[in-house]
Amino acid sequence: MGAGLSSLLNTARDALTAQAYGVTVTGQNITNVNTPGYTRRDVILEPRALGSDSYGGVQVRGLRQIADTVLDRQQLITLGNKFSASTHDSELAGVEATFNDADGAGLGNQLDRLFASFGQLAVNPNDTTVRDQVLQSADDFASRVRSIGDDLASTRDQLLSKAKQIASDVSERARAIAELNRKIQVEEVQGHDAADLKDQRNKVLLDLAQMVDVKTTIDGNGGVLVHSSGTTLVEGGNARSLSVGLDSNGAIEVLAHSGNDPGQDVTRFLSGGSLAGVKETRDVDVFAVAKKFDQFVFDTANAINAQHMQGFGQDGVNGRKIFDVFATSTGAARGLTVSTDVAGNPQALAAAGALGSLPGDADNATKLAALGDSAIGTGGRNVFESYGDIVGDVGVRKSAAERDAEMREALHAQTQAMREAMSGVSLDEEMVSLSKYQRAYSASSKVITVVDEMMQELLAKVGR
Amino acid sequence: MRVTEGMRYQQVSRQLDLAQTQQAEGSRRALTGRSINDPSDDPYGASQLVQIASRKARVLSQQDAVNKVRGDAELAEGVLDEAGELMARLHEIAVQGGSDENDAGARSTMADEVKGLKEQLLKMANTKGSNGYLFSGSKVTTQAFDATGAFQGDDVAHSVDVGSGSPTRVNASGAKAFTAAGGRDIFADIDALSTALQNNDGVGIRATLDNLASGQTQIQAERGQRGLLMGRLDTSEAALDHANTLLTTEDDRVGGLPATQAYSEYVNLNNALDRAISVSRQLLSLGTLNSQG
Repeated sequence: MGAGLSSLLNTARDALTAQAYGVTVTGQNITNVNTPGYTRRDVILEPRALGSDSYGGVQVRGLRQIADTVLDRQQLITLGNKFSASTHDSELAGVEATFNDADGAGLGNQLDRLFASFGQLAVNPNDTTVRDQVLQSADDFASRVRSIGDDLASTRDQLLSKAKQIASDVSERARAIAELNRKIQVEEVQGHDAADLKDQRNKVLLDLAQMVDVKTTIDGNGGVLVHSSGTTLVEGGNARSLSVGLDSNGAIEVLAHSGNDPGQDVTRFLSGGSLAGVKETRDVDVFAVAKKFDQFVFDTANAINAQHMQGFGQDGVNGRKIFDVFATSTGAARGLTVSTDVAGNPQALAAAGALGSLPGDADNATKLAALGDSAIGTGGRNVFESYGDIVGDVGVRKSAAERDAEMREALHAQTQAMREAMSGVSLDEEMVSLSKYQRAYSASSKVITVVDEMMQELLAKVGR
Repeated sequence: MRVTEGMRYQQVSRQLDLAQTQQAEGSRRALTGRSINDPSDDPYGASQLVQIASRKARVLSQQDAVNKVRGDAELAEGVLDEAGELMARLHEIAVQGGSDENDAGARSTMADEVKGLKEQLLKMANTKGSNGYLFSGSKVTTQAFDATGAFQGDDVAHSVDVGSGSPTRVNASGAKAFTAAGGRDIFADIDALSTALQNNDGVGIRATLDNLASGQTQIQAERGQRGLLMGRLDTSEAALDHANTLLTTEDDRVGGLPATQAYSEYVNLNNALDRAISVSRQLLSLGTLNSQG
């Protein structure tokens, strides 16, 4: 079957439309080169059929997003793990700074000065200035202990607030994904391209994966099922919300709610995202460090008190404490103060070992100074070794968190590169596509010009 | 494999982050001269450094104690030295006064000198040091002897950790130096001499000779104890200096960084950062649009 000139014009018109669409899509790819979650598109062109025959025209069948769902899912998982680890690492940095004796921030200096002051008291037991120094050193020690205890407690409070904020953000993102699911479903039912909406959904999923572990499955209607923390967070147009509270042990408890129900405890399923990092830092590391520090303070203060109580003050009174400390180790650091037995009363410091040898005896002060070398508590370690153990423990935790963060970061970068290689925009490729569609568009224009000239020539001959 | 703009940016960003982080850490090590600036740099090392610092503080405290104790020890030694000489003079007077060639007037004059010497010795025995009366034992706020020469102190040892392994007695014993606790009651013997001279009692005067000689020996014995203490303080001081040096060396070994190593590491990391910036610039200029622009 031969084609007429008007048919040829239609063919050229179709070509112009198709190539212009190609330029548009290429432009869209170029414009979104830096857009997170954007998946590059490709135009699907096909021959236009007339009945059962092709007449050489072209038509746009649609758009194709170049994506690998396995890589997309993997990216969400590695992103979650990366954020969990990096949050854990960065939050521990504050705890590490609290115990950094290398830059003078720890307790080591105060501990050294306290025991040095006992040594000075042993040399000059009757010197009021020396006694004042002992009280000052004890107060500095107690003050620094409280400050560290407060820092640790404050860190836990801040992490709880952060966890609540993350849970709120997660709930908001889940609702956004559910809403996008609904819109995508409507668009696809109407036969429209929902690529932009899917990109938006990908962007929100990436946000969500930074907060909690995310696993996705595409349902049959173009919607995405989002599984997180052992629960289905989004299903079609429905979303669950998360809330954060404290359990009976004071640890973070994460509940997943449908509507206004009381919620299902999903805490033990947390495995990725910043929420998991926050929980691990707060309820594992800071909790353990604070507990060890409380025990250290409790043992140290009680050991000093026990020795001090055996001695006699300048007024002949014995049985006095240097520190007021809680009855148990729980919260001991935050509650440590210089005892009212001796506060403001340097003469009450019990340097003497016996009532009859006042005021020049320093037997008890010598024993107090030597206490630094004696084992305290149940671990068989002396005061300085016990404190050094805490510093080492904090270092081990931070060091492990750093290594984990570096490894997770590298794994995510690898997955991200693989995903980019599949779905990312290459400007070089797009420039080639741009030229391709531009040339095709120019050629199609040329066809119209030629057909037009032919028609004019034909009309001129017919008209004679 | 396709290489996209996103991959280039991610790679550049990651490598620059890494190079900058390493350069910042290298700068910090070079500035502080320490390989351990945070506990996580070397947790075991950081724990060791805390303990090394505490041992250094203990050594400094013991050095401080040695210096303070030394002052009183030197003072007590000097006082006892003078007291020994004074006892020698008293013995000379006893020898001289014991001769029957002296008449009552001469012996009375000698008795006056003995009284003066006793006053001097009392003042010496009541010398104050940095911590109160040197020879009062634990009764540092009370004079060791009253005007009659009666002892008012005690013999409680003031023991201090001067780094010699166990607490060392640092106060002189007034009891052993001047009272019967050391063998002779010095002031009673002087009073006996004075009385015998005053009474022109030749036999009585001669009877004090051995006691005065014993008293002098007694004071010299206590002075010897001061000498031993000084020797122990010298030994401790040397040992503490050595311990301090060892701890400083240990501190450097665990947490220090040789200046040359720190500097060369710093230069290397700076160069690495420069190279990373340069490569990044080239990578970012590879795109078609950039080359056309």
